[in-house]
Amino acid sequence: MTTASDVEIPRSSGRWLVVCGLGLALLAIAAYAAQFAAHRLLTPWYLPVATTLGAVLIGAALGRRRGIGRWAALVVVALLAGAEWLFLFATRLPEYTGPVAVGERFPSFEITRADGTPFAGADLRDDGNNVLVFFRGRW
Amino acid sequence: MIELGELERRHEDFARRHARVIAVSIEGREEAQRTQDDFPHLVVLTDQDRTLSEAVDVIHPHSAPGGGDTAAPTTILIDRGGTVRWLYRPSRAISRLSPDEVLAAVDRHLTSE
Repeated sequence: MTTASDVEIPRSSGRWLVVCGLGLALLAIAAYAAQFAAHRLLTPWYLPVATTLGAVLIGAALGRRRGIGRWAALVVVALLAGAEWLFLFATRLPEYTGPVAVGERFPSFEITRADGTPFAGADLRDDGNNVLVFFRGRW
Repeated sequence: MIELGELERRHEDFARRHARVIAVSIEGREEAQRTQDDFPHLVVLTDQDRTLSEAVDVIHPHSAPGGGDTAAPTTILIDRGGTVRWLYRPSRAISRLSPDEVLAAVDRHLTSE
């Protein structure tokens, strides 16, 4: 006689874990591309977090069944997650500790406009309020 | 450059608040002129000799793709009397304020004088 405890439930090979892991990594990249296309310049913390989770899922799939394809997927996604973490940490900016302070006069200066005409600190006081934006460059 | 494009797109909102957007980088005149052509409602300044960027201390060393220096993205609100009213620097070089956030800061720090 067969009891309930004798019935063997077939264990999934974990293929869905591999699919989910790879899907998460690709979805995160697609989300960042969409964020960029929408001109939302926020720090994409979800990118390395999702890819790391993807690597964990693929690692779990490897625990169920080994195979060269799964190892390859794990290496690729883990390397991608590492690169994404590195990217985020490499873009960290130091906190501003410079001489400009709220409530103080802006330092005097004299530089030029794009057309070559002079622009000095006094010009800030000529024409309304000013939003001064330092940007990294055209690239 | 996305940041400047977004600020250009909202130039009427800045004009309504009597605020002009002045964009500064340490690139040369040729690049600055191209930037000015792309964003005609902004005032584009070239700070190739870094007079202003060093005075304000915004040079971010070795941060350009080729290993050169850039200006760390920094936004400073200065009132019509030349006094600094607000300064913002993101925690990451890939982050920027949205135009709505800049306009909200203008409303909070400049137009309530």
